Amino acid sequence: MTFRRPTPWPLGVFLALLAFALFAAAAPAEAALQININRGSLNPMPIAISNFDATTPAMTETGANIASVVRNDLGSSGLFRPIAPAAFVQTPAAMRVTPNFGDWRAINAQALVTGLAEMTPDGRLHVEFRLWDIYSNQQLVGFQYFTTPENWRRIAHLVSDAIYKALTGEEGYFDSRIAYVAETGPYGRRATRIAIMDEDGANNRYLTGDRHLVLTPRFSPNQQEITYLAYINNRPRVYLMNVATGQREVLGDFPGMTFAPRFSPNGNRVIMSMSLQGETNIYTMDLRTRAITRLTDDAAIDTSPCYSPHGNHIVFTSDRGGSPQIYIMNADGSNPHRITFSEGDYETPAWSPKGNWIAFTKIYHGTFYIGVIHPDGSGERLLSESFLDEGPTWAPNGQVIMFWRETPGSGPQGQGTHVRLWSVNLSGYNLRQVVTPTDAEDPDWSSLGSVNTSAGSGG
Amino acid sequence: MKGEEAREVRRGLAYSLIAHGAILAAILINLPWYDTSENLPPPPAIDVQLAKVGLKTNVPPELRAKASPPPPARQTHVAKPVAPKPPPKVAAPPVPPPPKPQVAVAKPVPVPPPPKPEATPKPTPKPVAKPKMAAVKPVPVPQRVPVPPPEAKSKNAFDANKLAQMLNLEIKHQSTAPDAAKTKKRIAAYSQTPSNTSEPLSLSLIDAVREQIERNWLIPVSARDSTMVIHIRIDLNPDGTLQGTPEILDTLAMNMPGNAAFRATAQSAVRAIYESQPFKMLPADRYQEWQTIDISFSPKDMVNQ
Repeated sequence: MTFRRPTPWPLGVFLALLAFALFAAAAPAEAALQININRGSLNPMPIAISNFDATTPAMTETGANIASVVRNDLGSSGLFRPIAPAAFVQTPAAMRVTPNFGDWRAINAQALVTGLAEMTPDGRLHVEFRLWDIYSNQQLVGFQYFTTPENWRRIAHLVSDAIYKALTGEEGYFDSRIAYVAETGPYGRRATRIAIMDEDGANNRYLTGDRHLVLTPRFSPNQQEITYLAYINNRPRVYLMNVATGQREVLGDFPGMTFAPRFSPNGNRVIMSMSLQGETNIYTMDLRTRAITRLTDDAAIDTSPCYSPHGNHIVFTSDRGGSPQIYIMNADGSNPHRITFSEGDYETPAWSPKGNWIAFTKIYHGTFYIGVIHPDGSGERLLSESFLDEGPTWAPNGQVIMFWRETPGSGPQGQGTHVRLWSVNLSGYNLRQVVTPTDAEDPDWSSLGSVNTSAGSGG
Repeated sequence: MKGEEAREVRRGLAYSLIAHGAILAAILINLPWYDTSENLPPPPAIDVQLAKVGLKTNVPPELRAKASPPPPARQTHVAKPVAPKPPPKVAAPPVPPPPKPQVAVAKPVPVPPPPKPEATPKPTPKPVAKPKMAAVKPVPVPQRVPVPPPEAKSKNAFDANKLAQMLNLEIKHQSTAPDAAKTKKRIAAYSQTPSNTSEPLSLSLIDAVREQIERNWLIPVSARDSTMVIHIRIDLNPDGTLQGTPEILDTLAMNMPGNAAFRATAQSAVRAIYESQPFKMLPADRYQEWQTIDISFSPKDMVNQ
């Protein structure tokens, strides 16, 4: 307690000593040559991903498959350049102890991934990996996983995420899924189904039949449910579906048509638009109490609502100013204000999971763009441009945007028209098509999978 | 009375502890904010000086040969055998422990520290005439000044042809972005050019080092929208190779939990330095001036890329 009693002079003494310490610490700083590096390269980083080591033929195959998925994941990000395994000098078995880093420097790798795949006596798959810095000869990160053998692909994505995070400083996004609308059939009479797949296009499956027109599937935060719009009996309404059971229900018995649904970040509410007597306003529904709250009230069309990641703001499209523009309001509907003021129409805003950007579709002089803007209305930039780009959705780490692009066909009835998913990095680089089995539109990118659900218990 | 005295002693002890703690903390933290290199107002006279020196050290050898008498015979490189780096002998690497399961934070496997070159003998080139201070001080490097083109400067004769040639050279240089091949050539020119040790290191030499590192710095995506600054100190051998490992000076930020972006960026900066060495363009006869270099990495020119 005596320690706590301040007397007038010790503070002065303390400060004096502190000042002395500052000078003492600063003094030995020698006059070294100074160089400031203010720019660098945006080239992808060359990385060597060795096949994962194994002792049985079956595990050797699994180890090769995992490495292949990791290579594909990292390569698709545009931030890494996986080196072709044909160039590798050391075999997985030769690196059981420590890799010979000189061999990897020789093929210009800057990082190396080694790993191990084996079956435990109780029939589980054990996978471990290490990421090595080739220059400092140090392990940057390493994890091990236990899971059921069918889950090897998920493990590979977790490995990719760990590598991505260690080398980029951002969370990864490979252990995530995409919900989208799959389209088949002739142009003008398309059949639509809701589909989900892994972020890399694997494990594609369909959640609905193709009898009804479906639109805008949106994941709940825990990925257990999907909300979407379906025209059943010619009535467009918002539905809620349980992904595991396939069970679905109409969300609320609204008098008008409801559309553009999205979950709130905590999953407790769904926000959507409802059209009634020529007015389209934004409503939320509490999923537990089923209570409905109206957030906007004007004669304009207010639609495409999307919560900020913390749930205290809502971004939406409104034509109250004459043309569709992007507005932000508080979660209770107060203080709506416009953030886009450039020429052109702005639609389908999507708030980045990191909160610092809002992605949008822009239509200007008949051309479509995907772009981003800060929530304060600054920093607008366009990332893609085409005949029809629409509906951006964010990767869970806020670094990649997926959208759909329609390429017009040459036939008189639009034959040959393609609708596909595309992704582009926030930097505007790495525009690439996402592989889907059929035509696809209206993607929604899930959050990261939770590790506990299927990765199994840790060793 | 006794109690009073004991309290007195305890109080003294407390002050002592606090004061020692303060000193210790100050030394440990390394006072990143005390690094005034960025805030130091540039001495006004420097531009003039740098320009003058730049002209001297920039003369490409081929032009120089025409323009002025051959330089006095001088070793362009310090004799190679000076510091043969001992081959890194990694004595029987221990089997790394298995990685931690699942979500646990991975611990770096203890890797034997890279062997330090034993007693790097300092080559004693010509004794540097000027005090070190004068030579090293002027550092405030302007942001991204395009490296001035090698200009032909004739001291004795000055004819119109030469001038035209110089102008051409300059125009040509400005119109083309410095590409790798060109930079390489220029660097070769630098390294063959003896420098005047009574003048500060030329800005163009520093630019050449900077360019070399910038080309190799793969900026991680997390750093592209940020204002972070990484401070790294390197020691060089007389042949321009790295001596020891680059030292990341921002110890506090590096060890802060959850600072993955900073760590990834700092590690990328270290990789860029490894990729860029040896810095052959640095004149061996002025080794003392560049044997230690403080490099600050900040992607501020890349924001929003």
